[in-house]
Amino acid sequence: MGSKIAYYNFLQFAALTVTSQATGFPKANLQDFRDYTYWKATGTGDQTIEIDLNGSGYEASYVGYIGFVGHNLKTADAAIQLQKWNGTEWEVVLSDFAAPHDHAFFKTFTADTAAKWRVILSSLAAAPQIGHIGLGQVCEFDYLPDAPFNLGGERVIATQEISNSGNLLGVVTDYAEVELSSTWSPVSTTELAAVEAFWDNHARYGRPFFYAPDGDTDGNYVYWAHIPADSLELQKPRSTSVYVDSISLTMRGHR
Amino acid sequence: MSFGSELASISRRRQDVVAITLDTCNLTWGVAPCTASTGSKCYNTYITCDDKPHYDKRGKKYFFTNAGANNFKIPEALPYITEISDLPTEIKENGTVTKRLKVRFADEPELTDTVMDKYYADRATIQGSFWQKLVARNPNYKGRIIELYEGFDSLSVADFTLRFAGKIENITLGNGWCEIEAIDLLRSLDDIEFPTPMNIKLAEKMYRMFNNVTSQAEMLALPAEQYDWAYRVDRETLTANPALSDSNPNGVLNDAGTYGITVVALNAKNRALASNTQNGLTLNTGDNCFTLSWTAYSGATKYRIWLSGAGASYDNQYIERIGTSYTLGTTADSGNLYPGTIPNAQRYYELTGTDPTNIGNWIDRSAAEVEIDVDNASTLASSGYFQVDEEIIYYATKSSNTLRDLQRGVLSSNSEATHESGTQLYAIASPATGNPFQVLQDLLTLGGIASGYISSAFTTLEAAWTGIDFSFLPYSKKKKLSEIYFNAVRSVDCISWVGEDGKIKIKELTNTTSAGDLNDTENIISGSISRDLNEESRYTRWILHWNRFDGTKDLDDLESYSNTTVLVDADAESTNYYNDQVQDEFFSAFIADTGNIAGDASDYVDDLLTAWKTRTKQAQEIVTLAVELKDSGYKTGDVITLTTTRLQDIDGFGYSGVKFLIIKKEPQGGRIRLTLKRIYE
Repeated sequence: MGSKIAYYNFLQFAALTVTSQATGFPKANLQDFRDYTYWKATGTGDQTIEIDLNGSGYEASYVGYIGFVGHNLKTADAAIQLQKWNGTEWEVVLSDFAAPHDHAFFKTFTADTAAKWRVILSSLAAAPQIGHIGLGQVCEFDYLPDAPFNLGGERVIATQEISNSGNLLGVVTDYAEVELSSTWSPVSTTELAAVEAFWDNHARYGRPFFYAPDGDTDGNYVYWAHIPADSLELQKPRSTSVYVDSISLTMRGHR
Repeated sequence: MSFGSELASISRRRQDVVAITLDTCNLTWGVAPCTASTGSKCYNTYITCDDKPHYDKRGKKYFFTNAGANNFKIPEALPYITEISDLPTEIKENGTVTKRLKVRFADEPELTDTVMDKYYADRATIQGSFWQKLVARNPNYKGRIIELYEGFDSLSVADFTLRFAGKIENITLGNGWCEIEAIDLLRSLDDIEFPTPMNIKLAEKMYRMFNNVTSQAEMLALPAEQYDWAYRVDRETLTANPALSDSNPNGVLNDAGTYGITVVALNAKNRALASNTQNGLTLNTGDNCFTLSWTAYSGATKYRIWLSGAGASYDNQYIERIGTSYTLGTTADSGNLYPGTIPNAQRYYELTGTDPTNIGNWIDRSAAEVEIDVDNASTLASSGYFQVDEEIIYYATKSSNTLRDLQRGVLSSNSEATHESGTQLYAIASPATGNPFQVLQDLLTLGGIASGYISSAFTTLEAAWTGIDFSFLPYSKKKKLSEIYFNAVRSVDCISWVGEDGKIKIKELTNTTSAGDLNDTENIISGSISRDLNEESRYTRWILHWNRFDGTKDLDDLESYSNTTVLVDADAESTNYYNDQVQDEFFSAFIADTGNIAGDASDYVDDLLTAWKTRTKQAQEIVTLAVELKDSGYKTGDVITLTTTRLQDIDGFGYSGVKFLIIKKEPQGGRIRLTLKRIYE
């Protein structure tokens, strides 16, 4: 199992219908790539988020993942189901699954096309709140990043103070993103094509994406990542063989 | 989990929240009473409003938190804050250093406009960046409230603590960023004129009024020009012929005694032109009435007769006659008595020609004819005062936009100046007399500061106050309101500043109750302590000018004060000690005998000077030190005791429980730098 990047978001082109939305937490906040502006339901009844791509030009696009970030679906104990409209009826794509935690995660499935999709949240213990839903494509590597394989390097910025007498008075930490820079080698031409699609259609615009460095898409190391403005660069040293020597991405993100 | 428990824990992650309150309309576009019906929908701000007459202004708060912070507990906050720079309040004897706050925010393009735009779903497209749009839709941001809260990332915003509240001064936009600069509420008093302008202007030219003219000769000598006015307060002498003293035995005044008689000549407008009073007239038993006669006075159309003295039932009643004689005390009198006091001689004259020396050019006017039109009097009370230029005017009646029965140049102001049409009117505030702490609150209210931003200490001190009342002259010379406010603060021996909770604080300098001890073991960060001996803070004599009597002069104009009290520390000025004279001079516009029992103000001044001497006869050293975030409960204005071996006294021992006032508090990341000033009691 190799690293996975889930990117793109067809939601931004879709017409959304939701069962309910709390005042100040409209459904449009699910579409904007911002995990800090939220959609929130009004209660704990079953909630359906319907994504209608009809007329958007993306009806026939392949969709291979659904992801959540800025959510409370674990706390709300939600049963999550993904369905697609097959032209006749709603068809289950991902049967009920639970959020592993309240951090970023995504689920992949065999890429499929549909004009309408819907997410059903049921068995809710609290009103669900979601910052962003991703519905798009997956870039999958054959391998994990090169050694030293680092799931994410976090350097805590902190101040520690001691008194005149030498006592530790306190520690204050600051916010820090996780450094996620990774290099993969070798890379097949198939992988290269997937990475280039990811880069050309998404990453080069600085848009955020889901990144699972160890390939575990609902594990503890899934990040809502982006490529920093000063690192918007894709290095693709190419050998004479069919393999590209390596691909490097400089990323930062948070869970 | 609370702010306090997080503060006390050994490690924690700080988080800031900034709230900006901008105007918004409470209506929905196109829904009654909003009559908008065509074009693009508004953004619920005044500049974008399609139906301004129905604009229903309310406040809308926008919340922001640190970039990178987990805002899940504060979902309404946008994580845009990238930098906060904070010039903190510093307490000084005469006021506060302006507290300024600068916050830099990240800007970003928006795919949605859900935070600002109520009608985002109805727009054909969404474009632009957050801050660019916010400022474009709210160009009237200046003066709106901005608040800074601090807390920890484990808390909900309700558990955060307010650290600053002020007014937005300016906004700068850059490529991908926005910077807001704010000033504290006390600083905002600098921008407010005292007296405060009303949204009213003169609608016509107002000519000069020469007040208190005491004779016709004086009136004819006035340097008046056409349309100027004169106000005469004299009354000519009505010649009695013979004297008003003849008694007559045939009347009904049965009360023997001593009487006074006044005959007043009046014109057709019932204004007194001339009079004659005879006092000490004796009425013996059997002499039952007075026979009166006088010489006709030019211009008089009637005469009124007052009798005072033993016949008390006649007081404040008069008999009116057309002719020039009367027998007072006949049976007919009782049916012809009218209530009324002897009139003051008040006559207004308008110069209708160009030559003031020609009495024919001076036209007699009634009080009601002394009037002025303003552009909009709807917000004025039915009677009251206003100031125009350097003149204070009282109006007794109001009719539409006309103010009538004007009394010009009242409250010691000057009426001998022309006011042009369009001149601004000012409200004359009346923090005039009373409890000093009520006066201070009145001044803050005058400055537009809502009661929610005024510390409850004001009312506590007001209730506890047993000292003198303040007395303030109605002010005619324009000043900054802050100058008036801090004059009052010092006059009551207090300090005032903007506290970290955003509220305006007041503290008596005599209140030296300690909020706690800072020591080497638990509080003072290693190597952070230093001190400045602050030699310039020492005085050898204290001078207080009080009993201000002329409001037209500057506050520090010695000519406008009638009392000066000086306290000298002769020992300090001697050659063996400092051998110099350093004086602390203050002009109090509020301490006066007026409104107080004789001698009280003088005693108050003596006590005040003694307190100043106690506090400042020695230099008050300034100590700076740093403490950890856990000690952020100590706030500017608190008195603390200091225990440290790093500072030593005469005997070489470290300071132990020495009192200091915290005059400045600067957050510096995880530490807080405190500036302390030594207190002498």
